Amino acid sequence: MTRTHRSLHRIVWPVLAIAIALGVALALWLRPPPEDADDDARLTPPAIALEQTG
Amino acid sequence: MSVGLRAVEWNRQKLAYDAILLVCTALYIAGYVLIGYSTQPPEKLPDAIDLWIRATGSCAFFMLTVILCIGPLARLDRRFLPLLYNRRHFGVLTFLVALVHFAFMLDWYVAQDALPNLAAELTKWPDYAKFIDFPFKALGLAALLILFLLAATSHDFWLMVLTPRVWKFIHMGVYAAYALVVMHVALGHMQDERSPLVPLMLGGGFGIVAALHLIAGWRERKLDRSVAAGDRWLKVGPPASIPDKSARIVSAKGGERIAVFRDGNQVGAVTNVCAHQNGPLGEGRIIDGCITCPWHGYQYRLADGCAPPPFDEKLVTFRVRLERGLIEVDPRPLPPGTPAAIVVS
Repeated sequence: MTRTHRSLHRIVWPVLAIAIALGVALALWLRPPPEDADDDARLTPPAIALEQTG
Repeated sequence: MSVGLRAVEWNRQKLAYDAILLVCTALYIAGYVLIGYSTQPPEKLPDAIDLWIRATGSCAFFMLTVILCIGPLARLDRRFLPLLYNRRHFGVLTFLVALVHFAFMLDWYVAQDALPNLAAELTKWPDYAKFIDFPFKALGLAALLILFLLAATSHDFWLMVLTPRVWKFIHMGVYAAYALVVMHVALGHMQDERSPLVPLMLGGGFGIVAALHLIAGWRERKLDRSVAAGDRWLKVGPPASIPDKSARIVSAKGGERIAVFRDGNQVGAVTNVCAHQNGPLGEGRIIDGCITCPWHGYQYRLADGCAPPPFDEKLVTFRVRLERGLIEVDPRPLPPGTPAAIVVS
């Protein structure tokens, strides 16, 4: 490896490590909550439920 | 080794390397699909294709992770050098697995007669300004294009045409490809899959790669800084301090490293940069009377830095002298192929 190549490595990897670690952490933090079928049923307005039974 | 362009020479080690690669890749993909079928059998064709998409995608990610670990591991521990020997075939196979992943993705859309949806997804320009809803497939596509470029130029023909310096620079594009793949998974599969396994594997894989590169870089920096400055001649040490058939590496201020080899009572200094792929010659050994690069086995005579006939590579050499029992090197390079080794008693 040449000196230039080694220097480039030493610049690229810290930058890449920080950028990707931040990116993955943000993607994990901001991901939407899971869609749950039971939750959907609970959120059904009572009016609609009554209409359906009536 | 370039009397002309020569076809890739197969040897037992390369065949074994490639056989292990192919078997491990096939076993991983087959195992993933079989486990998928046995735990949650796909009900429809798109579900079955989705399983293959995940199998090939995760396989390509792991392969790229391993590839990126090989370089720093070989620098930190010589025992990993055999993995470096045929790394290019590993890279080409990774591109092929990624290509199959892409083909299954296209098939998933075709199976649902929804190919225009893919085009719409990729050309929904406002989404490129978002983070979570970023078109993650575009990231995967960009990574695939980089891997294609690297696979297409992996042959020694391109190394010769582009020169090792330019070739190495282009092939550093694999770091960008890996970053794109990590974000492709983070903004794609990780958003749907709630299992903690995905972020763990993604973070773990990238963490190991980044840590190895940072550690190897830090060690190299230490070596680059330990420069003997001031004197015109660099002190190496007594001849016996250079291990027989091996080298000690010294650095001239602002210059390339110099590998000072000893073969019995013959001492010679050549550049530490191999003419083939800029491999670290000083970490190699003298085999059959020739300095042998630890990366791909390129050989040079200690006496004058020339590759043995019929090959025509030549290394820059340096003058050496024995002064008050110590080997010293003149850091000013001599023209490539200049005889400069000395015999010490």
